[in-house]
Order: sequence, then structure tokens, then C-alpha cells
Amino acid sequence: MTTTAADPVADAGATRIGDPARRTRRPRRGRGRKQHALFRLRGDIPLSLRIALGVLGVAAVFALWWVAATAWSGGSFLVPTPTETWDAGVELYRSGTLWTDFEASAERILWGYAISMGVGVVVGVGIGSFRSFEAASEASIGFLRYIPATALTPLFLIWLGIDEAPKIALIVVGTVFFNILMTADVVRSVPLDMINSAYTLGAGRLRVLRKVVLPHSWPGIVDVARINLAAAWLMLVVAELSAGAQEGLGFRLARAQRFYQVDTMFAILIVFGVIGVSTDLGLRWLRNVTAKWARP
Amino acid sequence: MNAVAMTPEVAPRGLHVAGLVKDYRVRRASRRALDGVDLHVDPGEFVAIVGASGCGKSTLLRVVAGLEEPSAGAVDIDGDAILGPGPDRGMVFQSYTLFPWRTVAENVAFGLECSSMPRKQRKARVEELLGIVGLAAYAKSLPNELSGGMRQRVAIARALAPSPDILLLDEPFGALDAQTRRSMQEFLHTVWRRTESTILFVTHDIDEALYLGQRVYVLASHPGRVRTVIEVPFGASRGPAVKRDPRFLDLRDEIEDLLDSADG
Repeated sequence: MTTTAADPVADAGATRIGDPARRTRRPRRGRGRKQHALFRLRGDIPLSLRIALGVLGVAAVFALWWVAATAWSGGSFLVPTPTETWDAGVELYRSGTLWTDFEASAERILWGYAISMGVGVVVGVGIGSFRSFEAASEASIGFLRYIPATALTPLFLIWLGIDEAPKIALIVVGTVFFNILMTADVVRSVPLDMINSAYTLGAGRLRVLRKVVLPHSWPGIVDVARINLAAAWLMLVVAELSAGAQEGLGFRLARAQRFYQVDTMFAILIVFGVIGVSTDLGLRWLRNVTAKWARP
Repeated sequence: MNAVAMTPEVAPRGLHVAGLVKDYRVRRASRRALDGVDLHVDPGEFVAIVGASGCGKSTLLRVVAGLEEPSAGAVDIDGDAILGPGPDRGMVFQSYTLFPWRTVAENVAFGLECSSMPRKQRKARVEELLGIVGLAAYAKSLPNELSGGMRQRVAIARALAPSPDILLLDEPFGALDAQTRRSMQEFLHTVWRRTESTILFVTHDIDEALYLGQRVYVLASHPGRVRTVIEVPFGASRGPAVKRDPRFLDLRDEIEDLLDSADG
């Protein structure tokens, strides 16, 4: 009992500031403005809420689609429902055309984009590393990249015929300038003092390029590849629609249009989306695995 | 053979900077960063350069490192002119320059790879250096996992690895908090004593310069030039107590006055 009795005495001095008698009587008004957790600019939200909102977002898109398919077009073929689209997709898969079309398109993308990335990395590293290289190529690249790649289609058809070559060429031309300029930017972001450190440790220029500039730029280059891959698919569809393809997802799309198979067209569009998301995730994974140090 | 041929002209050992001038072109105008700097560092010496920011002290170090060319004047080491950067002049920068994709041990090994040292020897040398800087336990860590002070220790170990003739330190503790900074000063002093290196150290911190340097060059700004050279009256073995020595405090005030008047 003595201990509890002693407490108020000990606290007497300390609690004076918070003493209710000293508190002002004016109505409590807050200072500042409280912000709701959902709408704080760049504010973080809990993971569970993030997932829930993500699911909700996708559900909303499907709901809109469904409403459009049933109400707006009145059940006609103009806007197929998600289930009709699914059935059309399954049909494409069963008939085997989905796979052959995917293969044909993927092969064009692979060739075209491999060439584009190859050129992009070599020229981009050159421009990003050497001012001389930059000065010599700046004007030409600045000019060339403003020519719409699609405008070159007729020219490529004359030069390269209607085989695979013009399609691959279109993919290259449509993406290579982005790849070059963005790679150059990535290379320019290597800290100068990091390069200087390597020099003072006895590295020559070639070693600095191979052992400092390239490893530092690698995750950025994978990101460049990931971002510009979307443009490659864009060019692929243009090429397949206009450069006389016999198979391919773009070709299949045009063919479905000729027969008013809107459900098939929807299915192909969704296939494009799925491919895009998969390659995006794949390249993110590649970057995270090969450059653990650069993980966000 | 006659005796004259046997004794060629002996080049003075150590770093010698004579009449160093460095001009920069800034939008057509020429700006003088360094104006006739004379300086020398004898082998085994710890020399500090102190000056306000913008006095060209970093430029001076970069010229010695071979990262920038002098506009006029001579810079040589053991009689050799400096043509470009090399592993004989190790450098540590203020910013963190460790290679973030390499482990601590791999960072320290970088300079040894450049000189194609055999793997076995390299491993032993890296271990030795990590022992000296007290980071043996972190050999396999990535730089991102280390504190600022630890990163600069690794950077110092990396620069020491190829056994440079001189170690150039450009405000290596500039980005560190005050406590870490003090312990890093202790650390650097110990490393210098242990490895018997030659060090040229640039800082804007007067205490740091006086505590670490055997000789302190005080640089005036705009353009950068040597204002005074101070021979620090404490021996090579000194502890933090030196910072409370009256002579230390006098010198401190003297340098502070010099820098204030030079800038005013």
C-alpha cells in the first residue's frame, strides 16, 4: 500500500502540464487535414487492400464487357460475351490453328526483336559510352526515328518481296531506334566515378566496358527489352495485315474479320494480351534473377 | 666503367607537384581552378589538403590520379610523368563507387584481376586486406547490405589491393555521420600505420586534416592555391586525445582564420 500511496506524490510534478485544470476550454479544433488512407498521394496501402482492389479492377472490366455484350448490342454477334469468346478461343485451339499461328508470329518476333536488341545494345552502348559515337550518329538517328516505321511497308515489299524478310524488317525498324536510345540512356547512368575507380585500379577501356559498364547496365537493358517488346507486337500485326502473311495471329485476326467472326477476333486479342503479360513477367523475373543487386 | 656512369641522376622519390595550373572552359570563358600549386608527398607520408568546397582540392587529386590533364605545370611520381590513371595511384571517392553486383571480396579483387594475379595469390591478398579493414566476416556480402562506413572501408581495401605507391582519398568520409566519421578517422590512421602506405588526403574538415596529416596544405579558393603548409607537431602514433591538445586547437584556429580571410 505504501508504494501506491507514494506514486501520486512522485507524479505530481510530472503531470502538471497535462493537468485538466490547466487545459483551455475552447472547443477542440484539429490542425491540418486528415487524409483518407485510400487517397494519399503516393501513400502506401496494405497488401490485402492492394490485392482486393486488383481483383475488383479486373472484375469491373469483365462486368463492363458483359453489360456491353448483353445490353448494348442486344445479344447480336457484334460484341461477344466472355463465354462466347472463351468458346471461340477453345475452338481455335482445338483446330490447331492457334498453335501454328502463334508459332509463325512468335518466330517473326523472335528474329526481328533479336536483331533489334542486338543492334540496339551494340549501338546504344557505343553512343552511351563515347561522345564521338554520339555526335556522329545523333542527327541521323534523330531524323530516322521520326519516320513512321509503318510508312516503310510499301518500300520493304518492293525490296524484300512478301516472304518473312519484310515482316522481320518491319519489326526491326519499328523498335530498333527505341532500343538504341533507351540503351544509350541506361549506359549514361553508370556513375562516372565508378568508371574512374575502375581506371585507377588498373582496368583498361575494354575491361571497363565489359566489367563495369555492361554489368551495371544489364538490368536496365532487360527493362528496355521488356518495355519495347510491346512495339514489336504492334509492328508484327501491321506486317501480317499488310505484307501478305499466310499464317500468324495478325493474319488470323484479319481472316476472322472477313467472316464476321467477332468472337474469334476477341479471342485473338486476348491471346495477344496473355502473351504480352507472360513475356513481361518473364523478363521481370529474368532481371531479378540475373541482377539480384538491382532489385527494387 | 667509370663512376659517373654508375650514378645516373637520381629522381626524387615520392609525389612532386610543381606549378600546377588547371583551367576549365565554362561557356567560352576560362575559369582557373588551380593556380600554381606546389606540393610534395614523401614515401610513407600522410599528407592532408584542406580547403573550402570549390577550392580545387578535388581537381588537384584527380590530376594526380591521371583522370584530368593539367593545363600547365609538372606532376610526377618517383620522377615519372603522369599520363593517365593507373593502379600505382589508388583512389577512393566521396561517393560510393563499389561495384554493387560484386561481393565485398570480389570488389577488393578487381584491381588484382586487372594485373592478372593468379587466383590463389589473389584470394590470399583479398583475405589479408579484409582482415586489415576488419571486414573478413562480410566477404560474401553485397555492398548494398553494408553501412556507409563499411562501404568506404571496402573501397579503401580495394584501392590498397594492387599495392599502390600512393593512396589518393577524396573526402572519403564526407557522406558519413559525425560518429562514423570519427571512427573512420581512427580506422584510416591505423590502416596507414599498419600498411605503411603513402596517403594524400583531401578534406574540408580542419580537425580531420590536422588529426590525420603529418603535413597539412591549406588551400585558398578562386583560384585554388596553396595558402600555407603546416607541419603538424604530433608524431605518427597519435590518439584522439590529440584533438584536445592546446597546440592542436591553436593550429585549428589558425587554419580557420586563414580559410575565412582567403574566402572573404
